[in-house]
Amino acid sequence: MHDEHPMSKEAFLGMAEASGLDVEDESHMDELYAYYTQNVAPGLKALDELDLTDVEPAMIYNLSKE
Amino acid sequence: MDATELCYLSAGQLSRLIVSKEISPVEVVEAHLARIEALEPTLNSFITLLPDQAMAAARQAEQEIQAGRYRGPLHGVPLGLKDLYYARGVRNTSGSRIFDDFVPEHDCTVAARFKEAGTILLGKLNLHQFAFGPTGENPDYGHMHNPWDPELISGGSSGGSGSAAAAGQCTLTMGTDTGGSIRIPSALCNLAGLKPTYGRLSRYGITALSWSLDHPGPMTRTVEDCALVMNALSGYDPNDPASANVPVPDFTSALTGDVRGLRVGVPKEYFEVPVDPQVEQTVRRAIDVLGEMGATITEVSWPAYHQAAPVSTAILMAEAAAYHSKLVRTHGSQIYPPVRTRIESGLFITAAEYLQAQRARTLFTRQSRDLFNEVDILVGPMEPITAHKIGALEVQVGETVMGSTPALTQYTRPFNLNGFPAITVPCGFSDNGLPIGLQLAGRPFDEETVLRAAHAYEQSTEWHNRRPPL
Repeated sequence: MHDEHPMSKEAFLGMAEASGLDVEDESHMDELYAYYTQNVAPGLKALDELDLTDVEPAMIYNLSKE
Repeated sequence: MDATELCYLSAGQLSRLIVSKEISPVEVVEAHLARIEALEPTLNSFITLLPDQAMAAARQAEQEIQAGRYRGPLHGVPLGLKDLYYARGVRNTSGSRIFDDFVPEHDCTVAARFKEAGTILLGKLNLHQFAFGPTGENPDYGHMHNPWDPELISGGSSGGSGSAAAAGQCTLTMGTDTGGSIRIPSALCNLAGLKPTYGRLSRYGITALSWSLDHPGPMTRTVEDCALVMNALSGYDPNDPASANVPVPDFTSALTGDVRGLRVGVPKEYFEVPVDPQVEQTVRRAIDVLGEMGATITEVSWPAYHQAAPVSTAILMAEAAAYHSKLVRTHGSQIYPPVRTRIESGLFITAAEYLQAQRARTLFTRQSRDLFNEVDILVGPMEPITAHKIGALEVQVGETVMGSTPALTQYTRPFNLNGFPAITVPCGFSDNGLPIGLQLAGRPFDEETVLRAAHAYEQSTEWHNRRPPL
């Protein structure tokens, strides 16, 4: 799911725009990109390294109660 | 009784005096309102105070008790709610001026059950904005301050709950815990703080941060008070899709003081991460005390512990971004920049990555359950450090310099991820007089064992009786 570098700045800005963020605010985008690459992306990469074969996602809603 | 002494009575102690009519809820509330007025310039625990409403409720409680309509051990007891628990007719800011004028038209389930129990709501408590941070920072309503040293953080996100309970401004307070926000301020302020099992207490009417990680819970000066709150609030709520329809015990009956035969596990991984040497020494001494009381202490291995932070980060960030996505688009510039950045960064987690994290959570929870085949509770440090300076982004933890947020959450997040109950209790003080907490965690829906062990430890020591130098 991830290469060495988690996401290019260009791809990041594309996603930011698609999410409705103000990409014209360059200093904020720089800060956000730095935060993402330093604090979020490494964790996502760590997730990629887990063996999740035959493991389903945890879901909070239990229909048997309704 | 001296007003300060009155403000430091536990709910258990107050209830015995109230039911015997030795003191009146009116006296109790008056004393607390005076203490709040005196200490707010130092602590800033509250966002909204309700003195008139509280006095009216106190007079009503007094009349009911005089007329023989005693509702139980929380009747007439002062309460503070973190300002994201909806209380009908009282503004609910969630820690942001954006919601300065938002007044809910209904009570959250917790507030409704507290009302039924006869507690007196004194006000709404300050919090890290949108409950998204572990330090108790809030530029909109002012930062929270630690009663043990007001230049230090109270912890977060339930920082006002921590300072108010520790300083005797409220007998009972409620926090919410998504990544540690009950246990962090409780440990840093010398309180008992319980994060119950996910689904045990209703989240209905509480501003969300991360639906699958949010836990409401009590922050009090004694373990008995946590149990009393659990008795009042537990029970299935059809308004909360995650509410568990499970039997509700009398939590106070678990407080036997006896831990003989209890199997206590100490994960070795807790001491493979940075921890202040004085904290480690204090916590290891507390574990020895449990052993001296008859518990069996065993070192256990919990390799999955190290996965908790990245997995819970992905879930927390993605869910918080989903919850607040409209807000960041419409009011982004009005959100405290560090909180805004955390919220917006979740927009870059893909659906596939979120589901990978939820799969990893399944595995983590399975491995956590396996661990409890060997032991009845897990114990260890609540925090690797004591409270740090307000505004510090990095902290010294033993020989390591690390970010404040990863440090403060390194022992808390595993139990948000698996949803298992966990409590902190005071277990000592640093050389510079700051509280240190001991974390005890148990099996899902086995709060009784967690409370029993915490209470037994608490009652065998004096740490919880110390008061901040205010």
